[in-house]
Amino acid sequence: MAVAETLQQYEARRARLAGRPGGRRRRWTPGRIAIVVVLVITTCFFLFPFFWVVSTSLQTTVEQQTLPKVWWPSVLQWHNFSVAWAVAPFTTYLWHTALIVALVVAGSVSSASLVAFALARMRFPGREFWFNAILSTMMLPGTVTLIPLYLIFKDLGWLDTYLPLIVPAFFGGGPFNIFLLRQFILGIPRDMDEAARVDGAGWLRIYWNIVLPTIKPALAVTAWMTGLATWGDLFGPLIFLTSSQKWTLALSIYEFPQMQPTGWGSQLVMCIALVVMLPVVIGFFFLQRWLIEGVNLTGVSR
Amino acid sequence: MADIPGIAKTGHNPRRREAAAGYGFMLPVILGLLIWTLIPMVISLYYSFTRYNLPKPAKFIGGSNYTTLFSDSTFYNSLKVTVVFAIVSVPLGLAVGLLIAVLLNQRIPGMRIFRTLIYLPAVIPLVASAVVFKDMMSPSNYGLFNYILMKLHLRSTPIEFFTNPSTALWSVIFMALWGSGGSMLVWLAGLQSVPEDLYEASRVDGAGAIRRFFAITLPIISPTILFNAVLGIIGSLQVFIQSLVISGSANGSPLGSLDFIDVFIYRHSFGTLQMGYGAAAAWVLFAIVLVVTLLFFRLSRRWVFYQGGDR
Repeated sequence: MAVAETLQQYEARRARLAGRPGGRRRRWTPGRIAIVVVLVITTCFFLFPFFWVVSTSLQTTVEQQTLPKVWWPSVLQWHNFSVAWAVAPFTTYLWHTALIVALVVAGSVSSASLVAFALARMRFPGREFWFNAILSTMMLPGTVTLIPLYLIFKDLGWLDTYLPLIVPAFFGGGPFNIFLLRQFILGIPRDMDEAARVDGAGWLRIYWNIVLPTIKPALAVTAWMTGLATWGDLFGPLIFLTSSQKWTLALSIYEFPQMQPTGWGSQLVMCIALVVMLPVVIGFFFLQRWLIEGVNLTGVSR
Repeated sequence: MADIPGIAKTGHNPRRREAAAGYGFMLPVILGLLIWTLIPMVISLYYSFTRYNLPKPAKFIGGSNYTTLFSDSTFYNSLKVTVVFAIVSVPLGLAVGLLIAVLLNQRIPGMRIFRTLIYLPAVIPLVASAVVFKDMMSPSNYGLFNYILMKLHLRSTPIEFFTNPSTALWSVIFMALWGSGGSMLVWLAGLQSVPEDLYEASRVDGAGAIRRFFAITLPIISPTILFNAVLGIIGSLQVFIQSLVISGSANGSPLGSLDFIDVFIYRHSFGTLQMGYGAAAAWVLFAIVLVVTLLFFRLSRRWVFYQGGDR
């Protein structure tokens, strides 16, 4: 694909424009001011729900049912969190979710990178067939295989354990991750691994010592996207985890309204929603440059 | 590279060894395709032809699950809800994404910050964002949206966004727009990938901005957009989380207006334990996904422009 050269073109154009003598770069025409104003307003709209979840989670029930609306609580009700935490063992749910996310990420990234390496670098009969077979599973709705898998997991005694959520991740890591990592590996010049082969390095050495270190940003993007999907998954936990002490955070949000103590507004569930959102927001700001580059390189946003 | 003299080990064909090693690396995914995809698919197809109401064993009944499905008005409702959602929310999300991308494609200071902040909501888990929107769009006078609408005298009575069957689906479609940052990024990457000299040439020829967009930009980035549209439609045919969180249960309430196909399948398979019926509905969904995907790629041959040697 022409994506790598695309990025280069983009950078080259930027460099050209930045260096243009007396360029239009800093001139504030009315049109550009209007665009910035529109963008600021748009951004505020997109950020407003974040403000709202923080504000609501710290309000009293009375403040929530006051007109005119209270935009920001007069006293920050931090104890809302302890009230919410008394409803169910959310710290335990948090650890369950973190454990599942960590194992799913480890399994997906390791197995997807192996497969992507083979698809990008090695020659074997049927390579195109397998690549197409993997990509075509993107079309398969999860519900098609769900019922047999549920019954198989039931026979294995895996229901109400984390195994159905974790074990499949070690078998390929999903078509999207494979596709993305393959794109990245195709972008690495072959000189390095050919030199290593002349020195007698085996495929595993090339994979481990040359390819993996080079695609670290791509591995981070795959890890992030897999982790994100697992962190927010409701379908899997809802079906496979039956006893409430085994729930994940996402599942507990869905179940929360049934457990909510009377006399409370939406501030308690907002507390839980905030706990689900916060790690995502923090992780996002650490990784955003790589994430955006990942979209630029693959042309796909998930 | 496999036949560099002096490297090939004695007695083995290097090409064959590479093939063996390749299959070694492919082992996880090949096993995975078999265990988690192919075998369950075959079993699921078989179940769809059985009456399988747990805990009773499966009993072959031919195609009657399918005939029942197509005379089941709740299934038609699910199809309708799902298809309306997909054909409205995917183009709408792409349009909003394009609009923002065009704004961001100007050379303005702070473009990166705007881009990052607008993209941020697209990564927020749906369970969390659904909870937040359910509160902001709550049906009472105290709901934020209603408060603002009434304050601005746009409405005299509160709108029951998620609780009225005629507005619930549209409210979910609206809520999905919060994640438009994802398609914005794709458009932006596309817009910035168009070679500048093409624009210069057309500017010399006197083409306006809109003409340039349709004559140059869109054709060049159409493969990317097509791919994203297809993935978006496949994804939106499988809406589940929003419905459960908004309805508070898997019944598609209010009055089935949020009864997406996946919710229907979940309810029949794991609510009433009709595994055969659920499997049949899943296969109908799969058929729809297949048809939509193939149709898209077929149609795309007419208007999607693939740069020479690009794929």
